[in-house]
Formats: sequence, structure tokens, C-alpha cells
Amino acid sequence: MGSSLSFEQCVDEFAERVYNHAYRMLGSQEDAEDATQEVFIRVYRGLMNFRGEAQLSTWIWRISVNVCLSYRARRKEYTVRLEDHNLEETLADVSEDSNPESAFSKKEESERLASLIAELNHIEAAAVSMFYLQEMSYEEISAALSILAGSVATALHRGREKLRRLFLQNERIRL
Amino acid sequence: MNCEQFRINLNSTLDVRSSILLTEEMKQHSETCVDCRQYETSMLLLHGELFRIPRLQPSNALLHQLNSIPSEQSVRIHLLSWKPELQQAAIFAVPVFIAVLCRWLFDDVGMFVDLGVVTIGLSLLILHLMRPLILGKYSEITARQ
Repeated sequence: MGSSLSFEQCVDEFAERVYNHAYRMLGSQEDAEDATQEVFIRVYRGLMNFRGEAQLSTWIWRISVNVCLSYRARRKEYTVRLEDHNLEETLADVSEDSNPESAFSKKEESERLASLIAELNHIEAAAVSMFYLQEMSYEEISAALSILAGSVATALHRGREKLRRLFLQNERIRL
Repeated sequence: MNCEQFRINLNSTLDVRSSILLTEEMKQHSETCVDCRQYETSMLLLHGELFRIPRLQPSNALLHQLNSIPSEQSVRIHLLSWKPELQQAAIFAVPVFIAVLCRWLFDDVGMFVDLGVVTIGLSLLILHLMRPLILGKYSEITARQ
């Protein structure tokens, strides 16, 4: 995608994707709307000076990542990370008596699963959101997050593993 | 194949979006290990569920706000265009304020303080106004070198 897109075209092209990403990263509609607005204000201010050194989409994704990161940093609830949970206990509980098939079988679980993405750390949440929701390639994610492709794989694997445990734990608490 | 290797390989397999193909070695391990079979089932279901997460539509109000960013920002830029004049006024006003304060505090040396501070204020203002010229000359010299 070239850099010749007007601001209005940027909004048409990216608003929905940026909003969805922000929503999954932040876990609230209000924050997602504020973050999306901030992203596009930065895009507007930077568009005139955008020299096309990176792809426009990569540039917009980088802005989105930074804005979401600052929003997450502002919110104290995100400081309680999954690392603080006792994962070994969780895993042991899960393998003892839960049935993963039934845990994931309900269609309405999707939304609850989506809300758990916000509980991952920033890089893992961004990698999961970009890979599954935005269907971006490793290279695109790597460029947007400014990390190596290998680190994207690691973040994705860790994110997936934590989501699996969180989701099963969540199911057990609910039941 | 051990359990750890199985889980690593399964994760790598999931990174390919289109098709999930387990190797014979992985299938064999899955058949013999209950934990890994359960892990595989939960991971494959999670993988599928993640793709099924519903995409949300931004509200019309948000889209309206996004589309009105250019007009809002241009008003802001217009207001900020007063910034250099405000800077210059502040540069001159600060020494004047100090002069007034000194005169009020130290009556006997008031006039000298006034003159000194106003001179400094004017010098700062002149330097501020000439800054683009000075910087331009400096960059010309460094470019030549």
C-alpha cells in the first residue's frame, strides 16, 4: 500500500481494524474508542510528513501498538499479569478433571475468550490479536511490533498457551 | 518424541493458518499419551475459537469523530500559530516582571536592577528573533566543512 492515501481513505481502510485491535487489547469499548481516536489524530498529524520509508499499514499499526501500550500502562488492572498466577496449579487442576472439549464447545464462549486476550501481556496480546483477528502474516506482525519474526512466534505460542490455561480456569470458576 | 517436543511441534503447526497436519510421530505420541491428547484437543479448539472471535463494528459516533479530525485539528493548528508571538511576549515579560519585583523588594537599587534586567530581556528577545538566522549560518558552515 502506498503512502498516497488521504486521511479519509485511511479512516475507511483502517478504522474498523484499529478499533477491533484496540478493543481486544484493552478489553473495553470506551477505551477502544478513545484509543482509536488517538491513533487517527496521530495519523492525521503524521500523514503529511510520512515519507513512505515503511508501508503505510505498518506505520498505522505501529501507532496503534504504541497507543494501546500507553493505555494499558495507564490502567492499573493490567499490572496484574498472568505471571502472577500459579500456572502449575492451574494446569494440574485442568488435567485432573476438566473436559477441554466441553469447555470450548459452546459458541458463545468466543466473546469470553476474546475478553481474555486483554489479560495477556502487551506483546502476546498484540501478537494474538494481529494473527487471529487481523489475520496478519508473521512479517507484518514483526514490522508492526518492531520485533524479530522469531519473537513473534514465541509471543504467539506463549499467548496461546496462557489463553488455553486462562480459558479452562475461567470455565472451572464459572461452573 | 517426548511431551515437550510434541507441544512445541503442535504450536508450530498451528502457526500455519490453512491446514493443521500432524506428523506420524506426533500422531503416535498423541495416541499413547493422555495428557498430550487432551492438550492437543484443547489447543485445536482454542485455535478454532480464536478465528471465530466476532469482529466488531465501530459505532457511527466514533466514525463521525474520526472523520471530523481534520477540521478539529486545523482549528487547533490555527490557534497554535500564535505560539511564536506568545513565546516572544513571555521572554520579554519575565525580565520585566523580575524588574518590578526587585524594585518593590529593594528600593535603593531599583533603577540599576531595572536597567540591567530590561537589557537582559531585550538581549534575549533579540537573540530569540535572530535564532533562525544564527542557526541557518551555523548549518551552512557545518555543511561546508
